[in-house]
Amino acid sequence: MAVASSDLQERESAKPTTCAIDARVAEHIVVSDSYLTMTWRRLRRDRAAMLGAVLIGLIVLAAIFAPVLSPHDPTKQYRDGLTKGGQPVPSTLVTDGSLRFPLGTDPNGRDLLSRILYGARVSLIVGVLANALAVAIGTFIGSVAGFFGNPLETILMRFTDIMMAFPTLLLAMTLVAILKPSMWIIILVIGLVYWTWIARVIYGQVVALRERDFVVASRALGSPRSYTLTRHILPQLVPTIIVWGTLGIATNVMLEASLSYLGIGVQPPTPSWGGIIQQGQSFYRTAPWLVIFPGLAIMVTIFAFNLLGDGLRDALDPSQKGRL
Amino acid sequence: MSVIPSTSYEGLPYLDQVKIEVGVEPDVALLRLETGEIHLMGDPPPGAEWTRISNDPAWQDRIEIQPQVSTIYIAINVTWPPFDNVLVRRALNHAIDKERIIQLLNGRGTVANQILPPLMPGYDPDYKGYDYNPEKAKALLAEAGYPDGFETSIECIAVEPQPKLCESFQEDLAQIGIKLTINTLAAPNVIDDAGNGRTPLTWSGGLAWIQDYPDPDDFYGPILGCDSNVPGGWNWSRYCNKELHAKAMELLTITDREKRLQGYKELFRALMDDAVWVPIFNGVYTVAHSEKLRGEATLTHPEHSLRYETMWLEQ
Repeated sequence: MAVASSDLQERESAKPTTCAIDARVAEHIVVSDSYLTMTWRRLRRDRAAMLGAVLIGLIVLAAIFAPVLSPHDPTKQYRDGLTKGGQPVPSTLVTDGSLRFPLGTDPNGRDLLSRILYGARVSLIVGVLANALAVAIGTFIGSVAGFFGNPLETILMRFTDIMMAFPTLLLAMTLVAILKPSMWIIILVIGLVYWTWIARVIYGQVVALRERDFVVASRALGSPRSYTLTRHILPQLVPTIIVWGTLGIATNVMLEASLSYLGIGVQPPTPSWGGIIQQGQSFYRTAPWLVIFPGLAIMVTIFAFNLLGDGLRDALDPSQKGRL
Repeated sequence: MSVIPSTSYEGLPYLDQVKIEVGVEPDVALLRLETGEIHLMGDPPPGAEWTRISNDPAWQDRIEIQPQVSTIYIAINVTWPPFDNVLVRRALNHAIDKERIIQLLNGRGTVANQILPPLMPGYDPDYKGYDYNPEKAKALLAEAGYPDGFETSIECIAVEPQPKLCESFQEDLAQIGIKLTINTLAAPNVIDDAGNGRTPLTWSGGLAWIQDYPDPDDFYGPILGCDSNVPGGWNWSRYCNKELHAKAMELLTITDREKRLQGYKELFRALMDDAVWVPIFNGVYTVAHSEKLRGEATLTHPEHSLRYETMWLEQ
C-alpha cells in the first residue's frame, strides 16, 4: 500500500516527500485550503449570507452577554412589574429618563427584554447542539447505509423511512412526555427526531460516491472499508454537513420554540422564546408586546440561519446553486 | 349538549332550548360573547381581559361578581421528607406572598389565612395565621436543619392562571432557598398523583376546594380526615391525626350550634398549627354574559347549578 501510494504521489505532485502517507495528507491539506479560501471568497460576495452571518453574530453576542445587557434579572417578578389590576406593564418612561422595563413586562411582572436576551441562550444552545446531534446520527446512518450496501442499507434506510413517517412534532412531544422535560432532554429529543432528513441526503451522496474512481481505487489498493469511508468519503460530505449544520439550526430553533410553546420545552422560570409566547398569548389584545417581541426574536434567528445556510450551500458548491 | 324543557312541567322555563358547548377556551368564549355568538360564559373571563372589561362602562351590566365559599391552597404531603417536619411546613406558610397572588388574579379573590373560608360557619375571624415573612421562614428552615434549603416540586394544572400562580410560588420559595420544580399537568393527572401521594406539593387552584354543603365538616372530612387519606382520596396532604380525627367525629354528633362551631375553630387551629396546607386565597366567582340575558345570571355556575330555567332573553 505504501508503494502504491507513493506512485500516486509521484504522478500527482511534484513535491519532494520523505514518507508517502505524509505527502498524501499534505496534498489534501493544500487542496482543502484553497477550496476553503475559494468558498470564503464566494461567501463574502453573497450579501444575504453576510447579513445572516452578522445577525447570527449579534444574536450570539446577545446570548453571551445577556447578564451585562439585561436591565433586570430575567426571573425576578417585580412588584411594579404589574398594574394594580394584575396586568403586564407596557414599556414606560420613568422619571430619570430611562426605561424601567424597555419592552414591558410579562404576566408575572418580569422584564420582557431580559427574558428575551436570556431566551436567546436556550434557543441557540438547543438549536446548535440538537442539530449537531442530528447531523452526527444522520451522517453516521446515511454513510454506513450508503457505503456498506445490503443488508445494512435496507435495514437502516427502511428504519429511517419509518422514523420519517412519524410527524416530527408529535414524536418529539411523546418522547418529551416520557422523559420529563428539561433543556438537555429537549436537545436529545430534537436530535433523535430530526436526523432522518440528513441521513437521506448523506445516503444519496454516499451511494453516488462509492462508485467513483477514487473510492474504487482506494478499495482496489486494499484499504479497509472503514479507512475508505472515513478518509475518502467523509471529506467529500463536509460541504453537505456544513450546509445542513447551519440550515438545520433554524428548523431546530423553531422546534424548540414549538415544544416550549406547548409547555413541554424548557421549564420555568428559565426563559425561552416559545415559552414567553405561550405565557403571554392570552394577552394578545391587551399586551401585544408579549407575543410580538419573542415572535420577532424567533423570526430573525431563523431568517439569519437560513440566509447563512443558503449562502454556504451556494459558496461550497457553485454547481448546485439553487438545488438541495 | 342541548337542554330542552320537560313537557310534564308547567310554567318555567322561558327558554325553548339551551345549547351548552364544552371544551371552549375562555379567550375564545369571551370573543364569541363579544361578537354575540353566545350569551353566557362558563368559565370566568380570562385574566388578560378582566381589567379591560371590568373597567368598561358598557360591560357593567354584563358582569356578575360573587364571593365563592372556597379556599384555594397548597396541599403539603406530610409523609414526604422534608415535609414530615412541621417546622418546614410552617416555613412554607411564612414564605408565600399571598397579596401577590391576589394581584395576579386581578383582585378576584381575598387572602386566606386559615382552612375555612369566611362565609363558612366556624370561620375564625380572630385567627391571624402565618404572616408573610421570608426571614422567619428562613429561620424556621435553618432550625429544621435546612439552612441552605432543598429541592422539591409542585403539581399544578395547565389551565391559566394556575401555571402563572405556581411561578409566583417558585419565586417566593427561591427567596428562602427552596428550589421548586413546577410540574404542569392535565387536571386528572394532578388529581391522580395528589390522591396517591406521588407529589410533595399540590396546588389546588382550579381543582379544590369549593363547599359542597354549608358545614365546616366539608373542609375536614373529605380532604383532611383519616377516612379520606386513602389511595385516590382527596386528602392530598396525606394527613391523618388520630387524636384530632376522634374529636372531629365527636363534633359531627353535637347538636348545640355554638359548642359545635367552637369545636371546629379549635380543630382548624390545630390543623393550622400542624401546617398541613398553605391556605392562599378565598375565591371570587365572576360571570360574563350578553346584554340580552336576563334572570338569575348571578346564580349560574354551569358546572354546579344549572339555573337556566330562571333565565330569559330580551328581544
